[in-house]
Amino acid sequence: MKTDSLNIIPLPDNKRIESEAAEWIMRLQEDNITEARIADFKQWRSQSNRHKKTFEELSRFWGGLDFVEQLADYGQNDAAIEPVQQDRAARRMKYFKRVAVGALAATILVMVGIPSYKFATRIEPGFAATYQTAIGEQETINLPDGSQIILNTNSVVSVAFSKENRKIFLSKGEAFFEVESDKSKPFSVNTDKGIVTAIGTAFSVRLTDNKLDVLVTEGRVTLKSTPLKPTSDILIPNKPKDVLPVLEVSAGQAAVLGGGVESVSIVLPPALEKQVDWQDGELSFKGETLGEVINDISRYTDLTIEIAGEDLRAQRIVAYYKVGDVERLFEALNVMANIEVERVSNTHVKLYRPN
Amino acid sequence: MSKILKAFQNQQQAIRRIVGKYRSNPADVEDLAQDVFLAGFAAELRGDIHEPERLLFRIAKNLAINEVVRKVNTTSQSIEDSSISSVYKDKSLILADDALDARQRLFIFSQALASLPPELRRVFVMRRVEGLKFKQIATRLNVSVSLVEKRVAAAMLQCRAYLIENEYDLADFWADPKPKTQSEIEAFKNRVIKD
Repeated sequence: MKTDSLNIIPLPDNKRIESEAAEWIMRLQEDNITEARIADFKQWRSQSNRHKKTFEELSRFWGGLDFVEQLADYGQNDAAIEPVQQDRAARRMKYFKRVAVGALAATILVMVGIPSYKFATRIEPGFAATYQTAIGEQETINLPDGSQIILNTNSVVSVAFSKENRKIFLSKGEAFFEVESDKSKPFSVNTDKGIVTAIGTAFSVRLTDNKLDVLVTEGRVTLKSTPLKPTSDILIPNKPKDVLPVLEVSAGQAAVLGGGVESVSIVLPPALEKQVDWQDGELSFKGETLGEVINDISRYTDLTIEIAGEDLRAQRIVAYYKVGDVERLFEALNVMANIEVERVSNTHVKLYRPN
Repeated sequence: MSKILKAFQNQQQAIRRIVGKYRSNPADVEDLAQDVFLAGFAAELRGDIHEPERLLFRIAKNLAINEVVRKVNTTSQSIEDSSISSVYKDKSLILADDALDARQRLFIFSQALASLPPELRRVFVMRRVEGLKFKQIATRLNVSVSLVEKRVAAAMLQCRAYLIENEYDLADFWADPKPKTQSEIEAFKNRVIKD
């Protein structure tokens, strides 16, 4: 039964009542709802006939959505299983093609004799290659043994596979490794800070000026830290005589190395997801401060990004950043948070909030 | 918008053609096309899809072939049944038609769901498809229970707004699926008119 007084409530009010009603529907489903909460709800509902009606209508809608569960059955459908597997395989193939072209180009470089690239192609059956990404670039590398490397921005990695072992040398930046298990040929990531040896696993390694971050998402790795010493050319595989065996790190743990293990911590799933977020070429921010966002982004761009004012620096941001596309992020910041960009120079921008 | 929904919208004709190779009845083709979307969307809810269009084409072919096999089996079954009792035959007919409308409803609602921003879709699916409690969702996503509740609430409202925008009758989504036999349709119409 409608009355005239209900119809004259302006639209924004309707919307507000709808979202309040929807939130009450959710809250009332909690297991241990308190008397006080129920009293609050009753008080809310008694405000007007519109409140009451909206709540009833939305409750009915929410209650009728049980059929959505059937989506779970569709997920089990036989007809979809094989196509989904093929989709995953196709993704790997696409990257493989790209890398194959890169490897060919690299071979040509060697033939014309550029000395900085050393290839251990004599080792039979061996494989060796060096991969490099520019700032803002990412690369997925499929190795001949089925392992995969995702190389993040501004990174250099060399691969040397021999009969006995599979060695990776990370000399700069960050990489994520998904390792194909092969007990006869240990897979290790060597850096000047330490060595990470995989035991059938997926993990990421990030090298900064004075530290090595290791994050394990699957399986286990062992860590050996290198005592601090003058920088060595780590492209030359040095036998880890002077490296101390340290410890095992397993899935969901992160370790920091810097002349010894500094810390091992357990990473909760959401944070884990966040830390390996970059692998799909997109970073997501869910309420980090603008300062943190720009700090993260700066690894992916040559631009110097300045933030005007502490208030703005503390502004919380929800945004997605496609690696290599900083202009789109500026656009998003402008639309969503009213943040303007001042071009100080070609390589320097300033973010500010217009008054 | 989800990749699968976009691919489905762009390739509806192609999907119908693939299914049509195996099914001649236009109603069957429509049903199967909807199933193709639903299976693809359900797969997307579990993980990112790389080549959404190709995935849908492959599912379309598999589903159409499976369906041919199934129909052959059920047809031989129902001939036996019909000789036993005509009541049985009627009942199976109603069930089949009900199932058809339930599919349509899920198809439409899934499109509403597919059009949501990922962070809203995710919590809604955790709650209503996976059946998790708000507290469990909050723990998994490492956010507060209240934020989860707000997002699920927003997801529900946005799905509802999508249905209204596309001029669907909301009553179809909370009532039992519409009956399809002639007498039931009459009864249903009468009831709706009285309301």
